[in-house]
Amino acid sequence: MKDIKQTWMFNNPVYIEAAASVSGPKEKLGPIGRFLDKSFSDLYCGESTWEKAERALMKEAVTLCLGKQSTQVDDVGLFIAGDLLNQNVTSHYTAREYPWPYLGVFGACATSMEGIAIGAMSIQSGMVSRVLTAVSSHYGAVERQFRLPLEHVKQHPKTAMRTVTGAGAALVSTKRSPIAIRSVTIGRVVDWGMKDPLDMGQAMAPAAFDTFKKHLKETGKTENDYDLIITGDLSMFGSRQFLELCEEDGFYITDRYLDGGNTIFGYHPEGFAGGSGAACSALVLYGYVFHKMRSEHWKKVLCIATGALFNPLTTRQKETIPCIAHAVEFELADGLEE
Amino acid sequence: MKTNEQIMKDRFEERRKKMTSDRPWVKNALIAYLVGGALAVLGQWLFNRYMIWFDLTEKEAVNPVLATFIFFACLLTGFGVFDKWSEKWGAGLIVPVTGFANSVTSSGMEARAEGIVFGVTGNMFRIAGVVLVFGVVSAYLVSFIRVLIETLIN
Repeated sequence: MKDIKQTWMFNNPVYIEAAASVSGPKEKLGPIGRFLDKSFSDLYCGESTWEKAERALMKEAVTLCLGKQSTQVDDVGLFIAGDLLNQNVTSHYTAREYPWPYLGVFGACATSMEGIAIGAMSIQSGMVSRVLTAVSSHYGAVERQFRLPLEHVKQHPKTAMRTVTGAGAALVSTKRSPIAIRSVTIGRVVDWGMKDPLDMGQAMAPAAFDTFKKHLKETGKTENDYDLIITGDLSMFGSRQFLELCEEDGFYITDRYLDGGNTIFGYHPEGFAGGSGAACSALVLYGYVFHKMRSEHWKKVLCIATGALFNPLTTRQKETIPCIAHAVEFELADGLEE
Repeated sequence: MKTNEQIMKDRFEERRKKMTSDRPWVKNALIAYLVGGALAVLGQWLFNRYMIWFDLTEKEAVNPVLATFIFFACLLTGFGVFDKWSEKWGAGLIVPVTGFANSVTSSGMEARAEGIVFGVTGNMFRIAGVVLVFGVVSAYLVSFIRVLIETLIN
């Protein structure tokens, strides 16, 4: 069978003009808390329901992102957003308040990189010059939809991950800026037969590995070309599985590897295996990693955002969990020729 | 002959089992036993007190004790501390009616934004309904068996 191309390289560089990250209270206390633009001190974010709180998070992220380079609302040509709630409601309600053409995307926790990938590709095609992407997730709203009420008593298995409360927005544009997007790899859906919705990290590890391998093969790079390889939210068990899979295939990346889920709350917070959710990769990348890139700590970064595409109904019907991972390659623009 | 991918999958599964299989059953059971026992002692104490305070018979004093348990379980759920306690102290805390009370309250509370009828009342038994159905069915079955054995003996 012919190999289907999954990676697109950008000849004319596409840049991240600005990125903003907004979080809930728990994320602020984590190790990357001081790199975030804004944190709400209350899970309700000054609203009356979890769903409204998530909307407030995304709205704030979009506003902050536009404010960073004082971008006017009519400078943006396309808005791409996604979240975890049914029918992407948070994104729709946020898009309602702006005049932009809007695309709603869903890739579970991989939505952040999916948005950036679509944005970068539409800019490369020359149709638009500025695309705003946003993602959000909210612990309370997600628990309610996918699992049990927050106040319901339960003991988590140690593989359970805590959904990150937060939102991230990134402005992808043609304007020369410090961080450039060099290539994107759109993942395929991988399913290795995992059924436990409380153990998504391990279910997603094969998808991350598949995309990673494909990316290296199609770009002709080696793992040593990157200063940092970051996965979205594999968390403790998933990231270990990912590293083991890489090692079995001959990629030794432990010294340059980071996982968003392990980073966001610190290691092993309160019995959870780490963070998950659409905002997990967004907060770690837009807040922490981009900051470190701008200060030239890392120059080449590969971000593999992973998503478990499960539905509470199908997992109860004993179906396995299909997973996806999208990779985007970022590079400090100083290294690029004009 | 196994393909390369199949070997990888097998190894993956092996690692997964190794990493996730060591759930602390004994520790959890012990904690649940102690906490549940402590709650039972508290219930017995209340039971004795109620008989003296309100001048009740042994039969009548059971329900006020249960009501007290339910009341405090609901109240603590509302304050958002009950789930944190049970995370620490395990199943012992929810085995008396408190677990049932908690599931009704938490589901109802969560849906309060959708209104009284379709929100709170409609969702109250979302989780507790399972307990009700199985409770009624098993009570029916057990008493049926009892009656059957009694008639056979006589």
